[in-house]
Amino acid sequence: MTCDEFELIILALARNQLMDAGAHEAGLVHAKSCVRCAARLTAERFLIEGVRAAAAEIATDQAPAHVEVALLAAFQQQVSAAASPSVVLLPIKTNSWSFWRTAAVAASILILISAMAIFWSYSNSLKDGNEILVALPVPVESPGPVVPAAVPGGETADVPTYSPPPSRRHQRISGRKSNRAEVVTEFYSLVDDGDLNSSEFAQVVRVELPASALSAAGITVSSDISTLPVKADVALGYDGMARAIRFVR
Amino acid sequence: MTPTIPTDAELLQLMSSGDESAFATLYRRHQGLVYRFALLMSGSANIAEEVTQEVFLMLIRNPNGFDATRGPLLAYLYGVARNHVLTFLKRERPYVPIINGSEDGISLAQFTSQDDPFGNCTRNEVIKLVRQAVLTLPPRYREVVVLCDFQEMSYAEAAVVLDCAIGTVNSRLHRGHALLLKKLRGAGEVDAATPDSQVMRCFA
Repeated sequence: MTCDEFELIILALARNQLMDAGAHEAGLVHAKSCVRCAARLTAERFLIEGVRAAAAEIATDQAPAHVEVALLAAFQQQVSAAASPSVVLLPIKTNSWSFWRTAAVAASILILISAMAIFWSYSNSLKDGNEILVALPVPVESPGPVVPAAVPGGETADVPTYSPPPSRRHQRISGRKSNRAEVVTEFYSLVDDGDLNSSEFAQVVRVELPASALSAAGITVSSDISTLPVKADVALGYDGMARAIRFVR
Repeated sequence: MTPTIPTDAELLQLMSSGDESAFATLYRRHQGLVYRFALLMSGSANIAEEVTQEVFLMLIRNPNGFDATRGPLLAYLYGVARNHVLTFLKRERPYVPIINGSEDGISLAQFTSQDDPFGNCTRNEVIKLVRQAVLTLPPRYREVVVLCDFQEMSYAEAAVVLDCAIGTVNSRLHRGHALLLKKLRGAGEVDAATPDSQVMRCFA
């Protein structure tokens, strides 16, 4: 065995490891014949002894107890953290389903209520329209002018009072009805002599004027409806002057 | 009838399902080896403590990181500990003590015998000198010495831990021993006049 070959097995020899018996014997023979290799083997054996002594010195050294405590706490935390998502997610899923179900029910109720309200409103409107037709006084078919009784300078005996027009929707619905039967008042004279002769009417014009303008005809109008529009038919004479007025409802 | 001792794989499986006692058993089984490896590699009980904690914390956080086909659990834990220790060593690399003396007056210069590097040192003195000398080794030699000499691993086991070939382990161990003997014998020639340890730059 050469010194280089001895160097390959010197650690195994120093540590008394299991090795090929022939190589082990050859190495020991070489160490006896080579002073340098013998010294190397001795030094290695001392070193191995020193390392083993040092290893034995710390063989019982362990991590402090608080490390285990901390790790066990970390383990518990990890386990609870891993378990918590399912605990948290389950109510979220349930809540989500519950939310959408509740929302759907609420939407259905709203739709139902809206439909009922519309139907109720429509039926009420029809009912109101019928009541108007029933409640109104006997209509005077236009344009047959009727000469009223004397309108002596705004005397209150025959002075008509104006009632406010129905609401717009009411008007619209009533308007459909009024195509069949429009309600009008008598003609009131706008001239001083008060002589209303239909033969003097050249033209009747449908106008819409504020209620406050009625006061010019001697009609009392309350202040809260003075700005509302009023439909009226104005009878014009051949000279273009307004002769009389009647109100349309 | 003797109770069967659960294997590491069984304990790891139980641990993954939240069994705290399985983790405690695994920890008590391996923490000493991991701690001593880190202690010998770093020379610091604080670092060894921290490394041990990090190794097992990693096991808690990612138990599936261990691949049984690549080796036993202990080798895996050693590998993780090694990475942490090397990180610590890199952080503190610029300044390491050299062993030309110690506070109790022991110096490597006392070794006059050609064959026995420890001369007439007592057992405690030998232990101290060996551990100091190991700490001066470059990490790639130090880890092989710690695993094969201190932890008495086979070359094959050390190769798994270090993720290298068995021949590499063998050659590094030879080189490590040679450096250790050289340091133990010749350190006194470096600066025998100053018994206190110095802090010098390490170019390892």
